[in-house]
Amino acid sequence: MNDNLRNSWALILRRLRDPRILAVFLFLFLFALLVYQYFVDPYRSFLSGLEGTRINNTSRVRLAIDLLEREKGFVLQRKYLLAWNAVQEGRFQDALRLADESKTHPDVEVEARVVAGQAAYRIGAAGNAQSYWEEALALNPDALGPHRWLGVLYFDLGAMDNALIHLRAVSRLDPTDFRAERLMGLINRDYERPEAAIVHYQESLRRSPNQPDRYMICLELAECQIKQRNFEAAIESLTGCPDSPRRNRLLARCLLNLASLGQARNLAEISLSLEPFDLDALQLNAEIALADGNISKASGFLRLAVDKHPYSHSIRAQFAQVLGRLGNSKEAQQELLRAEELQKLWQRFSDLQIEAINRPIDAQIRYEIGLLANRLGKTDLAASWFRAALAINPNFILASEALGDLQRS
Amino acid sequence: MANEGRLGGLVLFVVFVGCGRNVPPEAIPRANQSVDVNSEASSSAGSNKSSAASISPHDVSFIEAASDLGFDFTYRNGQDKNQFAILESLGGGVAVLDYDLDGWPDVFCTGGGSFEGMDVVGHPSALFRNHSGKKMVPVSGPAGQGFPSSRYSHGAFSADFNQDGFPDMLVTGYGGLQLWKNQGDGTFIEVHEQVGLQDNLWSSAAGWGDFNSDGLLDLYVSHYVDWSFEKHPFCRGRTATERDICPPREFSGLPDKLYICSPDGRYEDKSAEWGLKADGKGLGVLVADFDGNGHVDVYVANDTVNNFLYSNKGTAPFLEIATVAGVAADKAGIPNGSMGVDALDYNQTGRPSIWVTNYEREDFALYRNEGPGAFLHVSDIAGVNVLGGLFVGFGTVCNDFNLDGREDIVVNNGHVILYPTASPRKQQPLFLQSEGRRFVRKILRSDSYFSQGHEGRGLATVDFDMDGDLDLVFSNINEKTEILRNQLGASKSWIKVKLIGRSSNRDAIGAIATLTVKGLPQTRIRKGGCSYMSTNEDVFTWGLGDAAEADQLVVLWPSGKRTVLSELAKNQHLLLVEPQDE
Repeated sequence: MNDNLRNSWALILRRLRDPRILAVFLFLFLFALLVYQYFVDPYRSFLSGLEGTRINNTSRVRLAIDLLEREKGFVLQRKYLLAWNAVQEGRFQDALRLADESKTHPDVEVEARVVAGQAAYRIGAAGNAQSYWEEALALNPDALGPHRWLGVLYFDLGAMDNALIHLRAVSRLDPTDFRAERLMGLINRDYERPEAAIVHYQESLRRSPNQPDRYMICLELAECQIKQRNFEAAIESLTGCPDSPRRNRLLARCLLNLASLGQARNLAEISLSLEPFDLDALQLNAEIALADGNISKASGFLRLAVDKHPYSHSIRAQFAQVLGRLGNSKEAQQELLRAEELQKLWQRFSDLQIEAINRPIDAQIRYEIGLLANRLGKTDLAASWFRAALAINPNFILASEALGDLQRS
Repeated sequence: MANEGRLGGLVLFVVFVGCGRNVPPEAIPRANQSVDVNSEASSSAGSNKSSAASISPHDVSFIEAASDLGFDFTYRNGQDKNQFAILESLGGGVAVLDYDLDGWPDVFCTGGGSFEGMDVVGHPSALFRNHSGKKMVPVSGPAGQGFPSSRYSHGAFSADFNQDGFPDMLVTGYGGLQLWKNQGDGTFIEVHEQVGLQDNLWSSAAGWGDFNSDGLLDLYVSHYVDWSFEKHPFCRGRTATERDICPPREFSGLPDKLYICSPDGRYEDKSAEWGLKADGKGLGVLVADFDGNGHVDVYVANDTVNNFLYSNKGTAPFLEIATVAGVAADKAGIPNGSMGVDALDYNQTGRPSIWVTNYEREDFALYRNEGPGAFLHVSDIAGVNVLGGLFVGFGTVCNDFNLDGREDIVVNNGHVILYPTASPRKQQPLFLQSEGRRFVRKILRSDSYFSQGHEGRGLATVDFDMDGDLDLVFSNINEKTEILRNQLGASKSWIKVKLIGRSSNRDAIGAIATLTVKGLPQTRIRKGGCSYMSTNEDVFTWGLGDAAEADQLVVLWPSGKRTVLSELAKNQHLLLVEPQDE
């Protein structure tokens, strides 16, 4: 050992006797170790990227992708991260290919299938998406992601009983998830199961009292409570809602049933003044006018309602009754016939939706529901059913044309 | 109907975004700050405001009396044979009649039926003679063994069809009608074939009435659905393998029949001539003059399809006007599962409104009579909806049970399926007390019949002890038929009137009687059919509250004749005979 080197070591050792220098040295050592652990250790890098996918942190995922670029033992894990990133960037074909390749690795076998399903769903292959997610659940029945996505898939396809199965699982696996509860409330409300809807709406609000759409939930909850004829509870639910025409109408319904006709009338009138063509507002005001014995006033509301909402059978039936009382029997008969015709169509529409629940991957029935919805003036609804048909069968030309026609009109 | 379900779903995703405005809610009027039981009356144009005032209310209570009376009868439906047939769900009824004309009302009960393999068999019906309100003793019947039946029976509809002064008995059911002719000597013979009532469809309710105004009683018979063991699908219960009784939607409806009585006493099927519709699933029939034109109309409560209202001008055909009249369905225009039916002048306009009991998750319907051919569904403002749609309502009677001058409502409830989820199989009966223009559910004693669950079906009113207040007979499935004694105190005041027609039909079905007390009119109508599979005692009852007398009684007979009596003392039974032609 030459003298210079010996001197240098001696100098370092002397310096290290200084506690401040020693502290700096130790800090640098630990920092280097930390950097190695997190950014140079490929497994750590992968885990960091995986966490990025869970918390939706794109930059973290991309950093992991970069760090794993030359790691030969992490090719499939990196492909999964690439697939996830491709979904974020809208490159669904790439995502599907990458996720499909990566799904054989045990570290990402569930996650890759979830991403593959997402990509497949976005390119219109709902059946493939469903298979990927079902496979993921076969590997881990308590995996949250596939349950969440299958809930969405079945909801979009109008297969509500299937959607509920997975939403229930989401709610169980993630006790903080308030959206699944709300969605279950909505499904049950729409399918005339108000008692179940009430439970889910209340649970959603319990999980997140200040969620962004809490007022909408309160309104939907009150609607269900009114259907259950629990008017006191509905008023309680509406108490926290900001003033709105819809809230006023619901409140008026409650008051009507609780013997406060005067207050119900005031609220109904206010609601109508804010939304003069709203079907519920017109119907409510007509009903109150009839209860008051003011037939001509009711007739005015109902005529406007029929004009603005020509596909409502109940409003036409009511209008026919009022026309009859006003002595206009010819027009009354015409309205009655139209009401009966519409009632049959709505009944058919309802029956088809029940069939769709029982046939979750049937494109044809969804196309038929779309056609019927269009006949009933529900163009948004028709479009959603055509999309559901196309999600199941992207090559369904009739559904595609029908959707195109709708969009053009 | 889940008709707009997915639109709601689309809305969901819109509202996930940006609904975070924290606008302070306005003060909401609370229910308990605003209830005004007379608000409907006070705000209804054209209503008689003073008529909403009460005379003075009396508390009502009932005690079970069947055991003390020795009244022991059970309607059996053959459920123990595990056939899960829809036939089991209908149950039976009771009819109140004074068959021996001793002045004491007797009770007839249908027996139901069972299954022997794939054969439907009947249980005998029974008649109980009222011994001065102290005992009810079974009458042996024509063969000494009750009233035998090879048919599975449901309804009991008494009327003096042959106008001989003795009330007879029509029994409906699966396999055909039975008509028991009262021979006047305490015995009956079965005569349906002799009089031409060969009706082999599954009959449920019936209503007697003189539809062509010839003074003879005609007959409307409703039929239910086309069920047989050849049409007996599997319907699931709570699980895929558990079987339950099928809903009526699984079967097509059967056409109702109208039988017109010819002068020789035979009945002819004139359904086509009178324009009956073919698509009903009838369970309740009510015959009354709803439009005040002097001719009785027919209202039919159908299960899951639109109800019928046949408007009658005295000659064929009827005009079916239920939809345009507003009595076919609920307020949203959706047909309900309707079972029981009655009529009452709850708002004291002199016009009969229609009351219908419905299936669970539906509201019982009160259709307010707004004048000829027009009704308004007022269950909301009449306080009926607050019952909550929890009941499956069957037998129902409207009458003044607390003798306060206003008609109350009683409903017998019970589920139709074996494994219900939304409400229990055995359900409490309801007592809805009139409070002005609204009805309020009266919770009776906790140990009373009304606080217990029953598989309720038929229901009829009877004053079996002749003390002036109205008692009740409940028919239940596989449970003893019960008689409830009304326990009103001595302060009650009443007047009872029985009508006997001469140029009108002898039962005076279609008559309208108005008693005025302290200037307030109370109108009653003599109805055919009514309730569910049952017949009420054919006597009008009016409560006078604390009044010592009634100002006036006006009876408008079906023939158009009028009887007027003034200053009627309280607490008396009157027998009014239609004046002779001059």
